[in-house]
Amino acid sequence: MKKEMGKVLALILVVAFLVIGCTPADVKKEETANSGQDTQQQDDQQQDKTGEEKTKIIVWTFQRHDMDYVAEVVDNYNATNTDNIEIEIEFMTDNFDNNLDLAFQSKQAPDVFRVKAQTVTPYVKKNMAMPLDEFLTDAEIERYGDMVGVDRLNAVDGKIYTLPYTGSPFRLIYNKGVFAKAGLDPEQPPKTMDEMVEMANTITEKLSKEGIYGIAANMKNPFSALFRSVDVVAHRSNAFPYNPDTEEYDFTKYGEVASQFAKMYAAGSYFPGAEGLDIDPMRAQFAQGNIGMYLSADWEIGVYDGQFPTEEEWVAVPAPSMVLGETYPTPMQSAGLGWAMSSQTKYPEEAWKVLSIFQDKDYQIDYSEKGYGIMITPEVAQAAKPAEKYGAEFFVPTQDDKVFSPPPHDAGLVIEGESYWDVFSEVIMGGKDVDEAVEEMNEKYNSALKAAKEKGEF
Amino acid sequence: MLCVKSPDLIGMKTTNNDLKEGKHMKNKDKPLTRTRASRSSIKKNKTIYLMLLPGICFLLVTSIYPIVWILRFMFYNYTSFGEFEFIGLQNFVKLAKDEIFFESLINTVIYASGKLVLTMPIAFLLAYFLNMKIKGRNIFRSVFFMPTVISVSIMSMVFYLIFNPYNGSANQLLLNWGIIEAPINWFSREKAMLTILFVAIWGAVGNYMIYFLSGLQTIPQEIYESADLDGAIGWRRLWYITLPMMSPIIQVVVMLAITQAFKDYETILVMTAGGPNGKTNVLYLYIYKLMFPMGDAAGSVVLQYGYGSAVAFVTAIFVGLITIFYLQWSKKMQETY
Repeated sequence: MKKEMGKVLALILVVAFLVIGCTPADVKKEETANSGQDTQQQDDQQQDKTGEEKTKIIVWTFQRHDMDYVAEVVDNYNATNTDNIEIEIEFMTDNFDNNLDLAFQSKQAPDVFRVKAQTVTPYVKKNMAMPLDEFLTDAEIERYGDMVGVDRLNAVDGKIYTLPYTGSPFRLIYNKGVFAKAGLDPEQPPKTMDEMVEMANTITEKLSKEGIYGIAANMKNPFSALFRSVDVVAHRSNAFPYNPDTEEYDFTKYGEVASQFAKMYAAGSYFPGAEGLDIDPMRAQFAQGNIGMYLSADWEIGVYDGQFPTEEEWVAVPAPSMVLGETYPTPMQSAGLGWAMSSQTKYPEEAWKVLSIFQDKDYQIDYSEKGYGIMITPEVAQAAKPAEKYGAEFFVPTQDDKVFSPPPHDAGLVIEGESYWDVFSEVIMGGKDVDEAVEEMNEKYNSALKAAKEKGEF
Repeated sequence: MLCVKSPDLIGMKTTNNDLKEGKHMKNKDKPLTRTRASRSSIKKNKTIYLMLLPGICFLLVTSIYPIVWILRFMFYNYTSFGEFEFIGLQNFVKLAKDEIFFESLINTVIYASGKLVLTMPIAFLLAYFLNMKIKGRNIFRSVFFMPTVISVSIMSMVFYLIFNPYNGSANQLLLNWGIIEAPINWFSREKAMLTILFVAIWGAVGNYMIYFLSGLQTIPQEIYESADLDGAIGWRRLWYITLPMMSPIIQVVVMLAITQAFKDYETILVMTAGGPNGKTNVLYLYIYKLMFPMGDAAGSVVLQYGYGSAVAFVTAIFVGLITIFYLQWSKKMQETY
């Protein structure tokens, strides 16, 4: 009897475990900050009050900072539109890329999605994005000027896959109070790298005993540190390693820019522990007035408004260049990339209407003025007033803030081993000779580009 | 056993095997063969096997399946979810030329060696002293074991703050005590690995101390009493009695420590992310970065499941070889006097 009871109990346990293990996770349908892999089937339709079927359009975005605003716009649209469309939006902040891939693989892709990469190319290669040309009128294309149809950025093989949306202009951010304390004129920030080196060293020499240093960078992540600093100065100085005219890499001038940063590191002007510093701890120290200056983009507006509120008087000015008076255009981060339509959408007309909401002039002006991001569509950039948040006026795009076609290494060129950000961060921290680094990177990047061209990839 | 030939075997040559299998006996008297014994055992223990089944299913899904997945995809170019292309041994050719892999390998050996050389003696000595009858030994045991129960990530984050070169408490204390005149950059190229090792040893000592303590408690007291009579006291007791008696246990504990040291990466991920400039990048962290890119690549997130699988496979072989070599080298430790 006991044996039989034991067998029954064992069987019950086995079945219970199997049922628990095989039960699918709950499907979240509301706006959520967690990743979700559940989208309703495209042919699911909802009834409205009058009994007419509405077309449901699924939208995915990875951005969370504007969640409240965008959700409100979507709710208003759903309540008032006469297009018979219902938008269901998901704010998928974790694993957006993986989930998007998975959704397309399982034929459950959203109808409209935000482009997360620095180029639309991977979405085109994976057959995720649908060309928008048939939906765009000449007038609509004209409103974006030279920002649309940029090869490898928002267009591939002459077809447009996404439209310009927000962009993040880079600036030199500095603390006026620290400058004044160090005896520097707070109204005269550095315009050249030589001036920047001198000012950083002066601040450190005079104020390091108080725990204040001239410059900082989040060197724990070489890419994150250098793309917002050395790359920016390199662009400003026409020293960026990739030349689109010759289609070749040459790191010589880039090495000269990196050497200037290396001088500051060697002089001890970098905030202590830069090697292990993450971006947020660095920002926290700047907010406390312990750093003289650093380079970054318009994300800092929100940082010092909400994340690390500060009493310090900080300002942002164009980044210095290598030669006084010689400045060149600089690409804005994520500029030229907005929303894309899914190649799997069953309702392209309706999806286009939804995408158009985010490209609408009034929406973009309102979005920009509320401080959620800088809209780069020319007519919007001209019409929108700077956001009320402190610092927004410093990041209004100028004629030097441009939309560029991404260089090959940002558009899918595979580089084996260390990237140039890894190598030149080592140069800055005194671990590698700059000439050696230049030679190595020239060889590596040009070989990789040559091999990719032979395969027909570029 | 009564050796009576079965009628079937009369006239045939009977071998020893036949006798063992009972071919000379009637069916009902025949001893169980190995297969029949197994079947009988399974039938007898059906309940136990059923109870084990969920665990086995879990193991298959969470351990065996991923291993099979890795063994498959190391021959593929898999850089985007759902899209992969068979490329044969190209991932291994790439690995043979991968400077980051070899740098990580060297860093891993340095890290593992440093951790073992320091952790094992400290853990053993702590266990030895805490095995003695001293006041408060249970409190000491709890204190030393505490790091083992703390989450590695949280512990690493706390030490990251302690060793913060700017305003961390380590520098503050050393400056206040006059031991240093200027703050030390604990995450510099020269010191980052030492800082990581300190944290790793701090976190591991308690765990191995418990293993050694358990082993020490199995040594019969009579042996020590006899040793006392013979005049073996102090370090002689430790060297000539305790260590030899503990050698099989030490062998196993060191083997566990070796495999764990080669697999460590969580502390490094939190404190330095493998930097500065790859100075603390170890193999398992490199594999983690290949499987879960942390935004190092500009543009789209470049997954490298295929190459990451190849690196994981080679790393596993390497760790396995180290372990086998160690076990061979330490064979004598299995002898207990």
